[in-house]
Amino acid sequence: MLVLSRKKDEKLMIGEDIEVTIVEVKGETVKIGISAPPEVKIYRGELLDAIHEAARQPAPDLTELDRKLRAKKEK
Amino acid sequence: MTDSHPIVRFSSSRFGDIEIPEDRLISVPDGIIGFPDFTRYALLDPSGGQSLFLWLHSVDSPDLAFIITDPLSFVPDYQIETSEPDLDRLGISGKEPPALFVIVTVPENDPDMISANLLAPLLFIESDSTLHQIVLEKGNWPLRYHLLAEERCDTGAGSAGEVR
Repeated sequence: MLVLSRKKDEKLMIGEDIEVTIVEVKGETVKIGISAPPEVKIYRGELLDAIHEAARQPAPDLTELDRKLRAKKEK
Repeated sequence: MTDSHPIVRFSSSRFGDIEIPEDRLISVPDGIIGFPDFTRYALLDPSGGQSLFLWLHSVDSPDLAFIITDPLSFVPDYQIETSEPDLDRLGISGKEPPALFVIVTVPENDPDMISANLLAPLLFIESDSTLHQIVLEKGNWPLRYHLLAEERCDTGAGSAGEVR
């Protein structure tokens, strides 16, 4: 993995048309601005992880979950 | 079934061989996030209408399937805000309001921690059998909303915030 150090307001380019700007650095949080063509999809890593996890799951016992969820609603 | 449409057959690693009339295929033009190459799905209801859950099953990959549910039956105030340009981009402006679904995850070793992804819902346009997934950048909807557990959201699930 390429690791670069950047300061606030500094940019880096990915290819010709994706521009990444460090907008703010505060404690453990970094705010990043990204300019990219609309066809470039930008997602948080944890969203992709969660959807991959959802896609991998075997068929669970939904009957039991249906029962519990309905019981919870009636409460 | 009195349907004269051709039958589509596909196999599922979870449910075995499946046949559905071609006109019941669902098109997902951009795919589900992380799976852009799979654009043909079928909605399966193994419970025959008894369950809160359906399966959105890829017709082209036996392993690729998602459990989905209607979020409004759990979160009555769940709202999606989509702007006109968003709807235009998806090609669904001027059509009927889409039906909402969300993807559900059931942890194998702890099913009670079942959660729904309220951050990236599915919009289903029934009139043309098309489904789009969007990411809600406003509203702080959680990636993992627990349907059964008392603690509704993971801490540090990450707020939405603006992406672009």
